[in-house]
Amino acid sequence: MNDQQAPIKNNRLKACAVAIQSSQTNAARYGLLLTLCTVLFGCATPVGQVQRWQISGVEVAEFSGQVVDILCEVSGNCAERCGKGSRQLGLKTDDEIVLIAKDLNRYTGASQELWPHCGRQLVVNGQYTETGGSRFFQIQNVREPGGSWMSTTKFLENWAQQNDAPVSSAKNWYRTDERVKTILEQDGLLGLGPGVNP
Amino acid sequence: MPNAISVKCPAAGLLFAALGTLSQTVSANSAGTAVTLKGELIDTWCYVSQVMGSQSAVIGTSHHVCAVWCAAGGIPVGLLDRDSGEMYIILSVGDDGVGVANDKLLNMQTHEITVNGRVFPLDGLNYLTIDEVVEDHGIVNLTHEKFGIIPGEARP
Repeated sequence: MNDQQAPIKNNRLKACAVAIQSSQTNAARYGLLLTLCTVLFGCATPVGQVQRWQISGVEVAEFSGQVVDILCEVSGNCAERCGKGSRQLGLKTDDEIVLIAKDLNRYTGASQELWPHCGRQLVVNGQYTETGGSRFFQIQNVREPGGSWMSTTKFLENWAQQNDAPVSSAKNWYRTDERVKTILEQDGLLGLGPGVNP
Repeated sequence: MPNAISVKCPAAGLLFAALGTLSQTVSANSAGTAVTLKGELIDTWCYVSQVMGSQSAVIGTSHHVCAVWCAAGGIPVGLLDRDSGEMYIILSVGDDGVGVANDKLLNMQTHEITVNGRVFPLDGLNYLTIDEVVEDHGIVNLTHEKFGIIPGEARP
């Protein structure tokens, strides 16, 4: 967020707070919380709720399946505990294997969220996206059967631990990640070399 | 030999025949289909979801920074076939078995490459294991000339 955006966000947060406090019932407050804060992009979505994004073929869904390693499923090349975060994973339902391409964080996949559940049943919610016959899923919350929803934050937690940083600062991990910095210093912003800029 | 058994015991023959068919199906699926493909390494999430713009805007130079971010973050990297427009989800390169934040792919992100590999169609998606990168053609898709850099937060 830049300096110009900060006051705008603060005003939105104040608007959320005033609207919620002036509501007469808890239900009204909850509804307002969801509506206002989602629309105004100022407040976090409660754990378990799905954010609907403006994406192609969006379909909000909740389903359960077995966490599987896609490479293992298609080729028989399997690894201990689904590769412990090194492989693309999916959920195997009665009908299909759904590739879980993304979690809720910025620019992050879902493998770190899923691999601890390798081979087990997991309930997820989030949204499908589809274009031209290609369809996959973004998980936003996960829970074990009978358990409570958890927001998909494992990537940020792991990144913070590996980089000796507070989790609160991991939200913008892509700006300070050493591997990313090294590649972009070599490639430049366009990938055409460090001296070639738009 | 299933056929020899089937002469003496038809039920066993049927069972062996069924197992033989099953074995062939699994075997074919496990081996995949050998292919040579030429295409661009892309960020699959932005390409399919179009969350940041049209498909033509989220490939090539305009989307290089975001594509590196997404690959490093573990979003599947795809190979967008130059001729057919088909997208392949890459599961591994060589024998590394690594489909998440693979260093080899990160260092070639947005490049056009020619690969030998195997394709495994499954539930509407084409998955690709790369046996060998035959040639790295570098970045050839200069989309920044039309779209600038996408998303805005990737700009300096």
